[in-house]
Amino acid sequence: MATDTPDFDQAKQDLKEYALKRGAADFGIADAAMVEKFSPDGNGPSALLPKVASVISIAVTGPTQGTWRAPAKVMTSVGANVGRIYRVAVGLSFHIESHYGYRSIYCPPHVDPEFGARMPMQSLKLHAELAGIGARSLAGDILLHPEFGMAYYGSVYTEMPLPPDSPMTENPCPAPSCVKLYRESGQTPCQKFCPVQCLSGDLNEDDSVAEMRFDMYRCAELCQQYENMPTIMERAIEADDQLEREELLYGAEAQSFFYKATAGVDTNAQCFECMRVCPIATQSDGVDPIRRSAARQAAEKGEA
Amino acid sequence: MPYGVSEHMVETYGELIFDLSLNKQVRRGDPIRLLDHAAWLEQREATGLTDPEIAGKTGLAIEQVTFIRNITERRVFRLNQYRKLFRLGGGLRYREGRYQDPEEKFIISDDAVALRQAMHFTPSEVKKYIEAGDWNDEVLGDLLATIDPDKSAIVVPERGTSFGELRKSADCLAAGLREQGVARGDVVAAYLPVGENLIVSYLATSELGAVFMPLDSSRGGLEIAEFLLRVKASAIICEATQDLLAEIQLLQQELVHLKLVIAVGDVPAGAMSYNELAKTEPSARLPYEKVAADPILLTAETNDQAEPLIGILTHQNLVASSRQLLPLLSFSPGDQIDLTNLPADAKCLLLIHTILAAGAAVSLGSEEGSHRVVGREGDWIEIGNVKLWGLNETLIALIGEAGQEIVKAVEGIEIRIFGADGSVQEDGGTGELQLRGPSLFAGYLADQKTNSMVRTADGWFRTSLTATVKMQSDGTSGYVIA
Repeated sequence: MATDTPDFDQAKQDLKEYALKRGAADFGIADAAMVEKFSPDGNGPSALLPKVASVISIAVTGPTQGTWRAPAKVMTSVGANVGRIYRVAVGLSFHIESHYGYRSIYCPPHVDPEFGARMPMQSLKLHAELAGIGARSLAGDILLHPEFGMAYYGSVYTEMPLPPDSPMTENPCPAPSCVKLYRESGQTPCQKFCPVQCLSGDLNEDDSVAEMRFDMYRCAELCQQYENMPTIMERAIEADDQLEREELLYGAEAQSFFYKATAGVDTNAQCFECMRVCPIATQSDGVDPIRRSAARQAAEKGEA
Repeated sequence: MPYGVSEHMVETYGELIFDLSLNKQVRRGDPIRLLDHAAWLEQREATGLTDPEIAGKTGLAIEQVTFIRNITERRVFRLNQYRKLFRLGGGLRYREGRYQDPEEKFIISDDAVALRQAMHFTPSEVKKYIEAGDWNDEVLGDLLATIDPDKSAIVVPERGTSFGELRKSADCLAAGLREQGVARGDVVAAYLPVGENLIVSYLATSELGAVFMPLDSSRGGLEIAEFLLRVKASAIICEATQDLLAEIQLLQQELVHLKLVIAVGDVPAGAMSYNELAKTEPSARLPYEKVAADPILLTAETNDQAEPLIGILTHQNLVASSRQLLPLLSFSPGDQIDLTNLPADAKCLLLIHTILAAGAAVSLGSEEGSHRVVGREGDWIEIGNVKLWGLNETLIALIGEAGQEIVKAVEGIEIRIFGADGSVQEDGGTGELQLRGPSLFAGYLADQKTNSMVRTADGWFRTSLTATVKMQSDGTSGYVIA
């Protein structure tokens, strides 16, 4: 427990600097009570940390420009950029406890083991949205950041009462070019190019989102490859034909899954096709490491 | 009964729970970003409920909801969607309707499976042909794509057909056959004389991945029907259909596989028009996956008991043989080779293939321009001063000069004369002519007994013909066939 009351505004600034220094692209704070209010019963932050006061949300940038242009099967292998989240968020939780004396916990980004593969333990999306570092998109509510595009998010719960941020005043989705395509064809790029056609929706007259429809169960067919495996094994057991059994157990699908499972490579979140055609995800100013670097160098020269 | 859930309960509640869960999410507006709690609450059910929430709504236990939801998810889950990603990226985007699952490309009927299972090549021979480059990925359809479309492909009196026109005709007929349900692996028989319709039918069948069976027009209707029955043909394209149809109708109850009788010219009742079918506009449907190892041609012979004997030839057999023949026959662009004397069989189609591959034209009774008449006697074919020997099962295996008795093996073909004493004969020795090579067929359909009689374990084809070895002054082997 904290012994001396710190300057929370200063502490917030300190935590933000800590996070950015360790690789975060953006940092925001949501009021834990507000997160609780928008969470299903029993799924709010207090389920993990009963006296939680603040939810810190951090964003890290997505893949490189080269990766965005790679074949889909390459992106499934190296597209995700989640390693830094762990470094920043876990580091933050230790930093808060050691420097400020408030209990903190890294919010697990995993599914709830009580309910299977499709229910998250907590909604990191909700945290980032309320902390003002992401807004829900037409692409299945994947959060988009106006500067950093498709970011990856991590959260830290703390009993430290930090000054909260506000949600974004504007939602960057849909982008003007997406609206144009929607007006012409009835679909935005993310809806049009989804390999399992899991996205649909409508826009209002003012181009804001009227309705976003997301068939998550279809998305899971691409993004949660591990869900294939029990069925494949069941079919192999029941197969009458030896070749069919061998294809099921030793074919490319099974081989690549077992490789990924045993090598510790992700077997989830492997499809990027909706984001690949999203101008916000791939072309926003802060998305491109090449442009970011050029801007930084220009700024440094200017300062010099 | 896990958690007290019966199969009936899964069926009863599955869809409801699935729809209420996060599997289907609908968001109206942007309520969380706007901190509009009332709007968020109002659409909670649409955005997806948790299992405890669904339990509260349905009166089931949480564990029951979780179990039913997970089982339903598993049952709804479509396997192998992940494959859709393999050809995307690097500029290529998914387009609904254009994707074809790899497995779907290879779906064939049970009869086509039976045909595939009847094919047997010796592993060591296959390795040899592939290593030598005799067998590769070329398929019949590749032929037309490489030739100038304005060049003449077929010349008949007073008109000609260019390669471009031939290709278009084949595309249209293929589209028509596809629309009528002819699919990969199906057998399309042709009871046609050597002519443009035969060539177009052959190429169209190849485009579909179907298997072509030319039937000699000297055969009677009942005999034709027996062949159709044996190969379980899906379609027959024919001329002079009145008599043939009458015979076929006698066996109608047995010919359950025959979906299409396609008539050239007059169209009798029960048949469809070739001319109409050949006007079909090719669709943008995905082309079938071309596999050079697939069967393309069936030979229709009879055994000693006059029963159908169906040999299976692959693209690789045909292409290898054609490639061997090209330098031997010296066809050049502009040549016109008259084939009207030949029966419509595998060797004839091989020659057509070879002529077209050379950029030359098949001549059908045309008097115009230079042309070389092809004669035929038994298993021999003469083209100018070259004579060729082969069976439909072996394609062209031996070559010699017209008028000369001694012939030699075509490059790539191995010959041995197997004596009655069980030894391979040397100069002057006589015995059974046995062949091995990349043009030799894959076996007889549904005739294990004959297959085991005509093929040795190491891949030699026993012709049952007698031949004598004649060593040549240059040290090569010549042969005289009795």
